Amino acid sequence: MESPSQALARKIVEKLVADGLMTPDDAKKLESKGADGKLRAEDWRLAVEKAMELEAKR
Amino acid sequence: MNSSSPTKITIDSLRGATNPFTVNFEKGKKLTVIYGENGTGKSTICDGLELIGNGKIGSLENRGLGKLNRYWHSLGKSASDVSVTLETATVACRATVGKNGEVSTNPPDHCPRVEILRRMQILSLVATTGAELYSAIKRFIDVSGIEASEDALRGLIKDMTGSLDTVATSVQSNRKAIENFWQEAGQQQGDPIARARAESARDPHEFEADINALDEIRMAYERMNGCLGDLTTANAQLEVILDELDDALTTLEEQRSKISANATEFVALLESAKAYLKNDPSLSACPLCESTENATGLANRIDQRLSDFMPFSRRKPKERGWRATRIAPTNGWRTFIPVRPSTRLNSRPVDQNTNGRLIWICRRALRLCSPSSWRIGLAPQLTCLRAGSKCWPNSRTRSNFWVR
Repeated sequence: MESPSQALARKIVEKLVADGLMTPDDAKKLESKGADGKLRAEDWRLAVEKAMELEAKR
Repeated sequence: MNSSSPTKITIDSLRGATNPFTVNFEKGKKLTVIYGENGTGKSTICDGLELIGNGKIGSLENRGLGKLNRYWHSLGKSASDVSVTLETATVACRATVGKNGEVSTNPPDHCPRVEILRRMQILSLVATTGAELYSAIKRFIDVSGIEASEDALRGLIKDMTGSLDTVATSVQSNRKAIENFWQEAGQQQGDPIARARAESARDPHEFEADINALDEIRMAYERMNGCLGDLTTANAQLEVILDELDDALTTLEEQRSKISANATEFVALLESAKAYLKNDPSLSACPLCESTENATGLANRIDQRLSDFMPFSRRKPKERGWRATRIAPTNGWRTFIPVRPSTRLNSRPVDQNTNGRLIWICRRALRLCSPSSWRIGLAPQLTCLRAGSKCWPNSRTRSNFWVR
């Protein structure tokens, strides 16, 4: 059964992907890490930078 | 915390439970609904759960009753009679109340986690919206993992904001420096920032040649400054030497004049002797003293003496058509140019600030005036130059020269 943290992490990640702040590939990895509380500052930064770079290429 | 589902709860001597009673929970169900008429003990069950979970009874709070634990036990019972036991499939946890009202659970590590929402709290929760709603219900929802990740993100935002402030300050400082530099450079037309961007886009290697040239100029300037003292000293020494030379030349000229007065007759005598010997080359003895001791080579020695005395004779040297002409006095120096009488003068002013050059030219003039360079071979000609008189340079060394 999905825990509250996992459900909330899924919703957050979906929103970030929709807003172009996270790539779909990163979303899968970061969703579980975020629910477990293992997302560090550098993980957030790397994910956002990759998403912005992808947006810039488009 | 024991995560196992409760199986039953037994309450004794708590609130309305004058007699011990047990509530069995249906196995495998996550939700249990307890309903009944007023006074049947529903609140006592909630109080029992809250006592064993939180060590207090919330239904009595905020009613102005003072110390509440004196109302926990049933009528006719004492606090030490109170007992609440919650059992699960694996463990039974029992809560009791001491004489002073303190609540103890056994075993303490298996105390259940209990949250009680009473009527007022439910109404407040329903009326709450937005972030306050999350604050109201977050104790029922475990999103600690998300909160930890959110804290990391919040820290990153804080760091990035600080970095942004630092960068903004640096940009402002650099912009001000560029504008100041722009003003110092004469405020050329155009935008200084745009100009700075264009300059920063250039290849830095393009500046290396200019930088090297500027460094060489700077080092040459430093060397020149270092030599300036030596040059001044040498100039002063040269002045002294020139003065001494002037004195020596004057003395020499005076001596020469004296010698020349006597030398004319002596030279005439030598020329007469030379003419006599020319008529009689086979002479074997002196015609005056008839001595034969020095007769050999006498004609050659007379020629040698004539040659030695020639400079002291009153006879002037033969002109070759060159003479020095004084052009103009400049900074205490006079310019002389040896020219043919028919040559058109092309004067060139002497820069008053080029003392070093004047000194060099003066040395050149001295060289020209040395005996090896002058046909008559006498340094006193320098005196003539100083007086603006004629001079007799060797035709191969003719050039402009300056003397003081």
